[in-house]
Amino acid sequence: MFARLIVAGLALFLMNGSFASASQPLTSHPARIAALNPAPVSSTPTLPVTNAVSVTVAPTGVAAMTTQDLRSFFDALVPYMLKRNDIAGGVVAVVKDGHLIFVQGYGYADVAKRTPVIADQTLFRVGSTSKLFDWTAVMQQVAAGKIDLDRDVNDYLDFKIAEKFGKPITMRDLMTMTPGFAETIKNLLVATPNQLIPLRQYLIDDMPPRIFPPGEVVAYSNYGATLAGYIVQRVSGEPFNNYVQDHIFKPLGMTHSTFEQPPPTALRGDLATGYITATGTTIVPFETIQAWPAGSMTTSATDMAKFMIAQLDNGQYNGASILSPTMIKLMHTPQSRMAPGINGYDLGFYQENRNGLRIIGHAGDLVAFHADLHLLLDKNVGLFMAFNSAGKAPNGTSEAVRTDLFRTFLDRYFPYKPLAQTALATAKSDAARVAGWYWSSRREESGFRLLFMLGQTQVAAQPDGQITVSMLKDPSGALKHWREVGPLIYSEVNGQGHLRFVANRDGSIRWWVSDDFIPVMVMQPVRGLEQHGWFVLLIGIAIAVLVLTLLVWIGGAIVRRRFDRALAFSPKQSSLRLASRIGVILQLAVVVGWLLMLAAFSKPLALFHSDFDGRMMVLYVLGVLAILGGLAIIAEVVWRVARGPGGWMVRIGELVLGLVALYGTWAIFAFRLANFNFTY
Amino acid sequence: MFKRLMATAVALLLTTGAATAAPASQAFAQKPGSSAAVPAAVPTVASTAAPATTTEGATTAPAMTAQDVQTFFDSLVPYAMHRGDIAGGVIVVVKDGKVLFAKGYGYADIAKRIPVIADQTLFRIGSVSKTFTWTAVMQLVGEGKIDLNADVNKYLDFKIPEKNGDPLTMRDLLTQTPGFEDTVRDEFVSTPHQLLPLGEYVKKDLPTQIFPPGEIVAYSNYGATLAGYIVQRLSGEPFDQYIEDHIYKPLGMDHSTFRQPLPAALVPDMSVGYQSASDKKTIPFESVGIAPAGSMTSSGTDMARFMIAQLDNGQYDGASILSPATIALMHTPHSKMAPGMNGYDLGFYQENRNGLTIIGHAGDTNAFHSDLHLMLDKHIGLFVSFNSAGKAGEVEKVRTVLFRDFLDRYFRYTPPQEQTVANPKPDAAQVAGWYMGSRRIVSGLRLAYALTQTGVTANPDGTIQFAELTDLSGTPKTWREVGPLTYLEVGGQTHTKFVTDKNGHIRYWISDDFLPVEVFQPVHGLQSFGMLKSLGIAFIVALLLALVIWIGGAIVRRRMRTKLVLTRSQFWLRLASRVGVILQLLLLIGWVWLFTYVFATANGKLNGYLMALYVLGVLAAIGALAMLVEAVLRIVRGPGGWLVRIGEVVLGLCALYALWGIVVYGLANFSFIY
Repeated sequence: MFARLIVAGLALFLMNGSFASASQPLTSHPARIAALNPAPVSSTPTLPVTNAVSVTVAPTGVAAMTTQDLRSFFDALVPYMLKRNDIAGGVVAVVKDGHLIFVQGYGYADVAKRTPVIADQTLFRVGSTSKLFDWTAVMQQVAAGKIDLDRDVNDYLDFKIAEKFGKPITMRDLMTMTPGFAETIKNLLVATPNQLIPLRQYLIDDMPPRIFPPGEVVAYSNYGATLAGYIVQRVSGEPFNNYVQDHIFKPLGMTHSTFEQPPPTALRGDLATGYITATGTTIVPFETIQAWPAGSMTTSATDMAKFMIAQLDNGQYNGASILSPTMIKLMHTPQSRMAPGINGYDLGFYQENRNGLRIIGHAGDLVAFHADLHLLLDKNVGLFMAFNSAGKAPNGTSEAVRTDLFRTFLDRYFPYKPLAQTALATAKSDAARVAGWYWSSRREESGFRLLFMLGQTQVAAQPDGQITVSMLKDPSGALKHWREVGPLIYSEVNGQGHLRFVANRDGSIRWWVSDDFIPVMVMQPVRGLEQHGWFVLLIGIAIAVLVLTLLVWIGGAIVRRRFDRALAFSPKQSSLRLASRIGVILQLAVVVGWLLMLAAFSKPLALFHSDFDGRMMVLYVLGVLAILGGLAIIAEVVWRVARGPGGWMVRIGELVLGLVALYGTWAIFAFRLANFNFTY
Repeated sequence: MFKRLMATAVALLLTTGAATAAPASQAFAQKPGSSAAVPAAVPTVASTAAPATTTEGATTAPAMTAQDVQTFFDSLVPYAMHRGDIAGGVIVVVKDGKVLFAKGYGYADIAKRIPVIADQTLFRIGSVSKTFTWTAVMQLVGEGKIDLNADVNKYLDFKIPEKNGDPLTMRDLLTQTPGFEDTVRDEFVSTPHQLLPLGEYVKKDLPTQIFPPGEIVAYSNYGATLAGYIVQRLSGEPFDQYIEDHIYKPLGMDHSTFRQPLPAALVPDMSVGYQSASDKKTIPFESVGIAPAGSMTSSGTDMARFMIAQLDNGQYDGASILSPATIALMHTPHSKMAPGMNGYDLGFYQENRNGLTIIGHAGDTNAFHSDLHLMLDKHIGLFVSFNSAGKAGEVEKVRTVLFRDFLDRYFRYTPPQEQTVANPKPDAAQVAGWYMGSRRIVSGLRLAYALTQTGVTANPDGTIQFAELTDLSGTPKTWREVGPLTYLEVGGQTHTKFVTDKNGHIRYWISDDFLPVEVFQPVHGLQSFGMLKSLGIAFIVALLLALVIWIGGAIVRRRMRTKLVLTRSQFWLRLASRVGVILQLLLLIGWVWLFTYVFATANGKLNGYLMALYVLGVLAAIGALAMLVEAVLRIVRGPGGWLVRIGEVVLGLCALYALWGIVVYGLANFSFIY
């Protein structure tokens, strides 16, 4: 969940950034089943064989969701997906009308030992899908009258979330992912279970800044979910893990499930090994989640089936009840959305309506493990899947695969033909209006803000008035096209997804949100020089100029020495020039320093605990020095241009250098590279 | 196919990559990487994993019913096509003399949203066309008009020179062992008007024989075209006409033709060809200059008829195209390059798998990619065709994996246990290195092939990997040694074998993970890709540095108002040397430009460009001589310090390397055979 961020960060950083996922660690990647939607086509021409031999072909029609058909479907598709995307193993479970009707493991739980995935035995980490248990626990406490959804959460805490925006954060805000917290990365994962600290301590140490007023902007927060878990612990008087064990796992008979890290000895042997790719050599060690209510659960597909049945069946499973029908109903009722007609949040579940069906669910990602849970509320059907490898980047990740699998499943059993919609006359002018760079509401305010800047996504206007969005791609990695079908409402060409821009009162774009992606964040416009396009251009020029300056400086010295010449400088000029050139080195050092930092950040197994603070401090201090260096450069430029020595070439060079120094100095402030913020 | 060659060459030139040897002109046969796709690491562990809670655990293979086949392909094909960015395709299964399943997927025309319809939409089938040519040849063999073992010159109105005193026979052509170098010229032309008559093509584009007939498999489009020409000569009918009268008509294949352009009646049903579905770039109707080797157009259900006839003793619906005896002969193994490995029947190659006897043929044009498989002992045929190359040519993997997954679903197979040999490391070290396909051009475009070498690497544990043999995700598979120089895919069933000569030196390798259409022969010394890459980079860097220093020095000297003290002749020689440096760089740029831009646009018409490059090659050779002379004189007599002399030594070595390269790679050999 966290390292994904990192991997994404690097990918972004190295490529030029149609940053899809830096901002979506714990959730799913958008990937639609098809640029060319198969549903209408594959069902069209089943050979009306006129002149050929006798052909007996099954009638076209909707496949019935029987155990046998599910088996044929998943057996044909999943192994291909695993192979294509270099994923070691996975598991799929389908429940319908209160029964588990299909469950099957595919591939390997352990590649080297050739241990197959066994559906009712092999254990997977489910990452953020764990949150559904957290939220279920909250709902139990709501039912018990111990939690009021609309009360200030400070009322349940023994520490204080500082006042801001004149509005308290409520449990409802936490459940709809609108508390307005900045993203948290530090200490989300720790190296080993014995480094875990108590929830309270974590929540106090790593409290993120509040960047949006509560209830207004969706910005997925692991911190928020962890806070909710701590509140459950406080109001129930039971440690969180025990609470879930006693009040959810036990009644449902989920004997293969735990939030404990490491899992109890009895379960440990069944845990699948985690991989980056099936064929790669990297084994991902057990991932220890400090924010455990947000993502530490370990479980089997058959256990998850029981939970899905209970959620679909008014809280009942096998005679036991975990929530009352009223509470289940409340939990499955839409609460918040960021644009009309686009998927939003119920309580804890997000909506993922598709193919005309009401669907809620939750995905989960660690570095190796990727899970997804979908409840087709109208159909009394639940689908759970989990994989033990990150998969082959960029287009073959498990996030993409699980989305494709879910959508292919829907298309097989609930085929859907989206309404044909015609393009608007305003398409071209609106495309020009919305074109530009956007970043996620789920982001940071520390120096790591840089990572999110690099991960901007681009909305590009096409000549025909359609738009493309760099983070919204089809399974092959090709950009989807979007056509305007209503004012600032876009519909996927040859698909069913929608994308909607929300405008401010003055007509400027506030954000966009799409149901091609899960509704855990909005994408907000980036303005001015912070836009990715400008950033890449200017930083590129700056690096080139700084390096060239150094080369000319050193090269000039060598040539002058060889030909026994000297620059005719006064001592003062000489020192100023030296200071300027040291400034050049310092500014380059900031670039290199942050590059190294982001590279470290982007290693698949990197962990970010407090011992990163030291490196952050070094970079922040370097930032301050580089600002001073920048001032020295500017002073030298002014002096040199005004008084010489040097011909017009020297003066032009100095001018360019001065502009670069201005940019560099501005950038250090603007990008928070000297803000000494250690909350990240 | 030109594009393919180029793309590969460029990829090689521009990246430093472990050359993924896509043997150049591969339009008509399969690319090595393409067939490499075995599940290997990922079995469907259906059987072991049936949990108690489910009602069903499929432990036995499902029955191949029409419904099950439909569910299977419906589940798999849409995802495979979307993931690979493929616009449309058709799949046909015949079983026991009947069409069991035939269905189109995706679009025949994306813009117009026309779906693929199995008994209507037309696909180009590329080299699968050859199976019709070979069938025609077998008809004439049946009639006694062709003797498989006679010198083909007997049937020709021109002469193919003998190589090593062995005559070239029809059997050599049918088993792809005529020993011809590969050909690309005139294979694709821009418009049907530019097509040469068969007789003219085979005379004009006769390639050099690089292997004695019957010895080395080296897939030849020319050879198949020659066979088609022989059919035309002996039957007295134009080739297109012959196929229509003697194969299409009896089988009722009225949606099929070799003709280009298409007969008007067929035009409306022709699928559009794409590079990939999302880029929407359409590839215009491809005019294949070597018709018998690859110009056929057909529908899924027409191909079903051909498969049924091939599986059913030549009979279909009361008609007969070949006698049972001739069919039996055609389906009998005739040549193989290593014991136990797939080889050639007559015209069909073997692709035995899952313990079954299977023969078939793939076909590729730029847009269309097809494959035909006959499971002889099961009486089952599978034909697939797609209208897009897909993203990074993924369609070639897709069709192979579809075939293999189909086999795995209906004919489950557990390969026999084979132990790894006691000490595989010495053999791994011996086989590691660079290899080049036997299917290559040695005359006109030698450099392109020199750059498309493929690597074999030894892992520390004694397993090996072939850059060429990758899984569906593009990762090289791992192979362990289970017999002397015999390797088994880890977690899979296919073998790859190295064949040695009398002295124990590696002659070539061949793999069942690929098609038996060529072998891969070792490249040693300076010509191996590893050396080419490192020396090539050093060469380019040294030349660029020489230029920078030359120009930079001039600027600095002018600014500092000093001069080089050179005699008049020293001055001119130095100038000639530096011009030589520029010429070497120009020659390199010229060839890169040929492989990239020209290949992609000239549609096989390369003669003018080649002539220019050959002239440039001569000039560059003269320039290299100037560099050499100047370096020697400057080192011996100065002026300049040790730094200058070291630089000149480097330049002299560059000059030697350039001369060697120009000779070895035929950069001034004025050959227009390619």
